[in-house]
Amino acid sequence: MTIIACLGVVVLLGVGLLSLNPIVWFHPPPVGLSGAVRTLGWESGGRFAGFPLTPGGLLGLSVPSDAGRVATERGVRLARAEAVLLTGDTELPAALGVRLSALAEENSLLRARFGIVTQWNIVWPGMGSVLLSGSENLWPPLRDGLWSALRGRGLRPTAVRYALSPLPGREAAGFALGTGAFAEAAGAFREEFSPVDASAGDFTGRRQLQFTLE
Amino acid sequence: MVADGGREERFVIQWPQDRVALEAESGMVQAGAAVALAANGVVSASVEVFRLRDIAGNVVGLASRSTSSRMLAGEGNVQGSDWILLVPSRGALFLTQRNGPDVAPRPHPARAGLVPAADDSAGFWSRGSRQRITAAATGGHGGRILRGTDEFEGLQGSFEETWDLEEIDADGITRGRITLATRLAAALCCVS
Repeated sequence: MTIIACLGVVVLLGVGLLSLNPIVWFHPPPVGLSGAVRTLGWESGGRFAGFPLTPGGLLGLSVPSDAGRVATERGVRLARAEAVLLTGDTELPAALGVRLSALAEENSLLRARFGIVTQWNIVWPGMGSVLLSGSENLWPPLRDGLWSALRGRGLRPTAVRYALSPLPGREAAGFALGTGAFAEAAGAFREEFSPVDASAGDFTGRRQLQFTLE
Repeated sequence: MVADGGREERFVIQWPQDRVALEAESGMVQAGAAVALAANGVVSASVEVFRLRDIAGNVVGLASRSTSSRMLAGEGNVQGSDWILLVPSRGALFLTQRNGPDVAPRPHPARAGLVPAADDSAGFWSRGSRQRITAAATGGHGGRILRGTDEFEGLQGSFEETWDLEEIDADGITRGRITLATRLAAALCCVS
């Protein structure tokens, strides 16, 4: 009984220290967007291949089912692919998007780095496409989720919406270029994550991709 | 390495075993392991995802190919494909090309629904067992490497996509290889 109580105190202290980590003060802010911001939304209904975007998945602890496994080989064991329909922009038709991501090699809980690198290819039929490259640090929702879990409410990040910052040391998310009508496109983008109560602990939730075209 | 200081690297995909199954959500249609946007049976855009191999056959990452029509200056509406090659230990490469043959998913004569073009043994492969997918480089719209990240940062260049049919079984199921031959060099902007 004493051992269990001690372990509980150690876990509590560990989570507390991680959550109050002052390193996070020096992390880059979310990408700033100026000008006309376009917003595309999607919601993951679990239609992805690869590791789940959960604390366990990001720590490499959740082994995907055979159906969701991308590959068992070391190089891609923790990669993820999803194809989504992107809607919501009043001036553009619905777009087909594919998002490839991988665990960031520089992840470190002690340094409050807990994220993925992401690559987007978004296609507007008959118009053109854009290719985007970025990263997202999921530390803030993880931190809030851990506090929520400690209070017995499950791993539920408390904010309504998280504007996700790039991982420290990585360049801000931007356009890798475009084709067709977007051939001259440049700009920046960021992703926002809104927790969905029905899938607590899943960091995909309801997503928005916000970008500006220069 | 090649004579101009750049480097050549080939990536390989074996189908069907390297296809990563995607699941169509509302508003999309299923096309085998791929997903697409379609109206009245006509596909306007599609996405496929594959495991990506090095030339020795080792799985090193993931690749996605999107295929759609797009407006190209001076050429009007043509079909093209974008590739993302993600090698987690090295970075990502972004590629785009105008397509020679039509590689959009299509109805299969013996199967229900749409299938990727490479699976269409009756139609697509009637012209031969090797197909160069990248269109000839007219007007600068051949295969272009737009940008890279991490180890590929600052590199640009060209590429060619080739499909080789290796087998059609009794049920008409195809097996083959996609080769992406890249030729990388430092971007003009970044040469000191």
